[in-house]
Amino acid sequence: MPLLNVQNLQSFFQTDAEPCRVVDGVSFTLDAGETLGLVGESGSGKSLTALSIMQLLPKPGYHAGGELMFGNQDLLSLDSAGRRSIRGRNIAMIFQEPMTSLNPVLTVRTQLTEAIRRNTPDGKISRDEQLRQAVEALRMAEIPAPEQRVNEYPHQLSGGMRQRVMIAMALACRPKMLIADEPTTALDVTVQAKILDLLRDLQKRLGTAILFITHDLAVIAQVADRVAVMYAGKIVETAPVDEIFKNPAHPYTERLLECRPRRELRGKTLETITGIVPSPMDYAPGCRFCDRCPHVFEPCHDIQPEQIEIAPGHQVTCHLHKKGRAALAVVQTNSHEEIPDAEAADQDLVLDARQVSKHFAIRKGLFKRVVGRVKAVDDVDLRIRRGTTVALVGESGCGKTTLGRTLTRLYSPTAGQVLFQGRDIMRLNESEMQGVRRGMQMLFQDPYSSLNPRMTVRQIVEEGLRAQAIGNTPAERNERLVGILQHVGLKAGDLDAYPHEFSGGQRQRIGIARALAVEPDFLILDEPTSALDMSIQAQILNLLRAIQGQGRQRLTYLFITHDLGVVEYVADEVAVMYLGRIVERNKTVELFDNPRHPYTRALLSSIPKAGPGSDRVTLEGDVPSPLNPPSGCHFHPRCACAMPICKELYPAETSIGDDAIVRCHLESTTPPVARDIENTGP
Amino acid sequence: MGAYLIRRILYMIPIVLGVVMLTFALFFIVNSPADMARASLGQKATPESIARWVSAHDYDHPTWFNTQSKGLAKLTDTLLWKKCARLLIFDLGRSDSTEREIAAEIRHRMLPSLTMAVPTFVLGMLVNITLALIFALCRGTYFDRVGAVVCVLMMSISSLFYIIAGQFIFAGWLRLFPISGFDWGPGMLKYVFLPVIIGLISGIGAGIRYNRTLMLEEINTDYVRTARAKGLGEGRILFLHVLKNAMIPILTGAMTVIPTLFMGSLIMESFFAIPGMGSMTMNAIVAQDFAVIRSMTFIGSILFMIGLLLTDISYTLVDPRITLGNAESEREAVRPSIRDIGKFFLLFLVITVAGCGLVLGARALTAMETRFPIMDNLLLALTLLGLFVFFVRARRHEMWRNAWRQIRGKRLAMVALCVLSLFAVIAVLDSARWCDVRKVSVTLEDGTPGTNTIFSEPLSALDRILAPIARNTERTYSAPLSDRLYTKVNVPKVVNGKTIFVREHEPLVHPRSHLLGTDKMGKDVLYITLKSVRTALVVGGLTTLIAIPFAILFGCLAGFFGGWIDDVIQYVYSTLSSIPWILLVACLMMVFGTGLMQVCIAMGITGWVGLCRTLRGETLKIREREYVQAALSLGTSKFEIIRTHIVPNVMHLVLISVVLRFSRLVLAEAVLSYIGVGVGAGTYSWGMMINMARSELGKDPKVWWTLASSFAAMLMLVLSANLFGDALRDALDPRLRVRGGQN
Repeated sequence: MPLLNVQNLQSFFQTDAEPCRVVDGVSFTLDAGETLGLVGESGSGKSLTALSIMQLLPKPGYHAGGELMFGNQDLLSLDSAGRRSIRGRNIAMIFQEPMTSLNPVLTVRTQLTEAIRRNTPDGKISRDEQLRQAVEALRMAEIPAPEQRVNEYPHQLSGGMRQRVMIAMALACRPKMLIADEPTTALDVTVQAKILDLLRDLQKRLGTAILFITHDLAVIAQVADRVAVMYAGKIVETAPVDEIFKNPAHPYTERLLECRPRRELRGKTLETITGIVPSPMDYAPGCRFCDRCPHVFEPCHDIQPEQIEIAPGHQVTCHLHKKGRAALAVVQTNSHEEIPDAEAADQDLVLDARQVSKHFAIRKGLFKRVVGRVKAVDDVDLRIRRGTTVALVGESGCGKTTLGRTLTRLYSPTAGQVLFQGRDIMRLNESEMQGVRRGMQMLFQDPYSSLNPRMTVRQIVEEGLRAQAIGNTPAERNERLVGILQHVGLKAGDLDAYPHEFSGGQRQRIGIARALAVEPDFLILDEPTSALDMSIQAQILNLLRAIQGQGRQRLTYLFITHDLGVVEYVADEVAVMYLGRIVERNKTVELFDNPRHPYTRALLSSIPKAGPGSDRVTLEGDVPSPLNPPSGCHFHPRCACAMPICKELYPAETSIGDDAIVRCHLESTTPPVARDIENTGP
Repeated sequence: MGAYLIRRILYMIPIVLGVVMLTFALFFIVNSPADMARASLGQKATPESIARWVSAHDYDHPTWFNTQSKGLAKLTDTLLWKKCARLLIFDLGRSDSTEREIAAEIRHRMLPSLTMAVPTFVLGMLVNITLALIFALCRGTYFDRVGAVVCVLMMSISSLFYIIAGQFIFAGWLRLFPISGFDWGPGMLKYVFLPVIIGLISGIGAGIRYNRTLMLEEINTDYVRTARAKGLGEGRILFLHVLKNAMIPILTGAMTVIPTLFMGSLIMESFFAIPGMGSMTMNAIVAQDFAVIRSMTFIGSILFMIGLLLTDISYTLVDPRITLGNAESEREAVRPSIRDIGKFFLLFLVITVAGCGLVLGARALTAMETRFPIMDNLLLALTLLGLFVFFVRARRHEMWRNAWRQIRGKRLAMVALCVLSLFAVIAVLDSARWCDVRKVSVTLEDGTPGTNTIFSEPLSALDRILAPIARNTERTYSAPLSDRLYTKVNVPKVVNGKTIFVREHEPLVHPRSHLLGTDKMGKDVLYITLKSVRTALVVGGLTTLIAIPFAILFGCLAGFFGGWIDDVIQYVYSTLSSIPWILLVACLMMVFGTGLMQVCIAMGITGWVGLCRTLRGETLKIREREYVQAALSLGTSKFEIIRTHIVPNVMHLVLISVVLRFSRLVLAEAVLSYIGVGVGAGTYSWGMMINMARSELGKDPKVWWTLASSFAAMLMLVLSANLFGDALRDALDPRLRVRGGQN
């Protein structure tokens, strides 16, 4: 008998009109000690499925049908006291945002012991015993010095530590089942690797069943035994994890796997899923994927497909499989197209940044005395050749966004020179800068906050034309606008609509149109796809690659991201940043094949791979605060090969090839130069 | 801790200096000692008596610099030194009217104020938080919904009503407590009890609502969800997780009340004849005692600072994240170019000049207003035009359309809107005024017959509609729908051929025609009540019109540019908001004199501060949005960015604030008029009605209908504004918090 049996679960949201069917007939089972990965794009209803199981659906959500059996207990028939006795004691949950999920005004101890006390059967447990169990739980979550940590407040802990506290809290009472809702999405990739390891170890030791929710297929591959793929409120495919990756049966699963950017696809377009996820307000009567499905045929539009078992433990909800498996193979296509090669790029530098620093002063007290400096960007050299794509990678807080904004002079640098097409833009006055701005544009991460909700698409795209005085007459400008919109895959009819009428991917296209309108030579792409779903990401990456080669001159990209998969697919060169400095810079292929800096090595091995786990270099601890970076090489406290000199000196640049450098004492051949000694102050 | 205290005290110095300089500028530069003398002596002032008064009160010094004195005395024999700088060493001088030492008097009056204010404060906090917790516990139930409406109802009632009704019921009718007075011994308890209860009740509506909003906000946080997922009970979640977090903003609201604790409540103390600092201030306002007002302003602002200090310290008790003297990271300031500064300066000039022009124009036009009241009609036309433009523009935007759809779905809000529209129609009718022209035949100087054109007093459309009841005046009071006078008057009777006067209830000239009775002068109360509608709406509307441009301009500038612009603007509003609101308005009104326009200007000058702070905070957030960064990188000018990106995105906050502020202004007008610094006699207003009717309650039999109708009309207007404002807020920005009310 399964531990959890969910049958045809429906959770709707009350609205004025039709109910919003966010979870609409979800069925799955979870056995004791098993990990089920629930994967799907945003809006597919996976988090709400989890909250439904916990019966913590936010208002105006309500349970609209189906069965929830935990063992032989019907969860839906419980009163509020009964529900509380299930929560925590039998089913525990950890959430996505470790920063907000812990109460900021209570100590770790209070928050842990209240869970322990609550879940001790008769509630009688001495304070000493509570504390002992709390410390034990923290130790189990591999938190260093748990005796001290237990008395701290959440704000004193880093993001990774907080997620460990959450895990400790959830597992302190040895629940039979744990729901992990995107537990690593908000964390850096090196921290994510550690947390995933921890969860796996704990599961082995405690035998907890885990329902692991994520949008990231690669993470699923690492943790799950079985995978359930969710789409538009329904589960479309359930299979053992290897089966999903080897033989995806549902067209959606297949496409989702196909559209991941990978190294093998360099120079080719990505597979995409056309269109967008339908709104839960108006689902079609038939299969919900039919509008986007390449294999769509007769019954898909009108008849809801039924679940079919095509192999032991492999169920799929698709009409194609009524006729047997062969059907999918016949219609399977591979439409990766070759993109014209970028290697023809010339040696002409578009951007040449020399020793750029951006420090933010920390001020304190009445006279705003400077008590410290956050060295967000510290002594960075960056050269970008015309027509190339340079990726800037690093974990959150490493200063990559600040660097991007400093290069465009949105932030004024503390020191250094930025030569843009040969001119030092830091010396220009406002009106000279005005002209230069036309040449360099930015594309932002968040498709929601990057468009002013009070402006129409026309006003948004026209803003640059007006500011740069391009196009004299309204008719001329209008003509340009229509051209640009078509260029990025929007219709001329969209000009007078407001941003809220568009989906995330379309909004990102509007953002691209705004940047392209002034015909820049150089685009800084600041995490342009990280807020988008996998299928939309592929569309946007294809578009970016297409427009790069279409103008009179090839566009130059600085691609800021933390997603190494995208980098491997899209970049010509990579610069790796750690705590405000570039630690390694090389051609993409060389960097990925032969990472020289220990940090780069660790970063690359932390990428969850969609396949059996390999030997990994995991990193201890979290990224330190840039306010107080470690002495010497900033990386030495986390570095496996740290030497005594690493504590003393920041390593100098060592050339490791044509325009490739690394800053590490292991690679260093020359004695340290004076500049570096100066920069290693406490 | 010690270092932190010293820093905070150092930080207070410029603000206290600002407050002192502000009152100095108001009383000695805008006004002069001679003006004070005239105000104090009244109508009978002669140049000699004025000169005598000025020298007797030690005002006969030059303002800045005394050339006739020697040495240091050149600086000290001045008004600046004697009347302003000496405040800073707590030398408050003597009262202008009673000649008593102000410092001694304050020491003497501190205790009565505290015995009344401290219990009100402590009990109020306890009751408000407890009730708010109960409401939060049963959120979503019928009980909670009714409770929410009751809270709005209670905060829509004028505080004057609570006092008058409380005194009338508990002291006058039930005779449970003495009506007023004070006892220095243990007997003070019986005198203090009733004011404390009334103070508690009058604050309860706003208090519960504020706390409840804060708690509901906490209930929806992630960590409360975590606590639920742990299986905790609702009680522990509320009392530990929610309450402890909600205490942070609750404390902010509570500590700013500190000055009123010491200063007492002006009105409460004067009603109950408690010899505290509130009644001292009240007496000073009535007696036009500038020395006392100046001292009170100074002390009030210092108390406010102490309140802020206590808030900061108490934060550390509930919030572990805050350590005293937190370091803050520098924000990237946007540097304004000379052109931008020029543009904003120009804009500021245009607003000020337009504002001053409006005021001056109004004065000039009022003087020649005999023929055609241009000002009224012009204002009316401008307001209507503004509203029309707004609606036309708003109709195109999805956000406003969506908000309208939501409001339309709420029955209560729609009823409120109808009531508001009704009041608006009355005010519009009362604003469209014109004169009647009559041609009379006269005999010209040369003896030939001719015609002369005579203009009547300008009458509004409302006057003309209400003419029948306006004309039907009686001799004096009459009860609603009565056919006789309410009080006995001397009626001439012819008895045996001789005329004698008999005291009796004379039959009315227009029996049973006065729906709401008549007042002392025999005027119809319904007519007065309706005529007061326009005053209330003008106070609410015009004040907002004055305050809003400054709030938007300064708020957006401070938030967008940061740096020194932010510092200057923050300094100005910190200074203004450190003076207790009612004192600041009273100061301005004493300088401006009473009148409708003056009330609007005084409240407008003080009213932009709160909204400005909100807008600054919002602008700070919007500035970091990526669309603003995109605009900057496109090279759009900063002026243009503020115009197209910032202002449209804060407009919903402005609108919400306008509607919710409106109701507070209407209530404030009543209080101001009541304490004699309002619209002044000769203007119909509900405050004036209450002011005039106040003595009537003491009479026997009691004349209750003037008070009742003014309170009822005020309640209708304020309640519907509050209900509509709430619906508007929910529709536009459900996350916006309502901060505690003024005064």
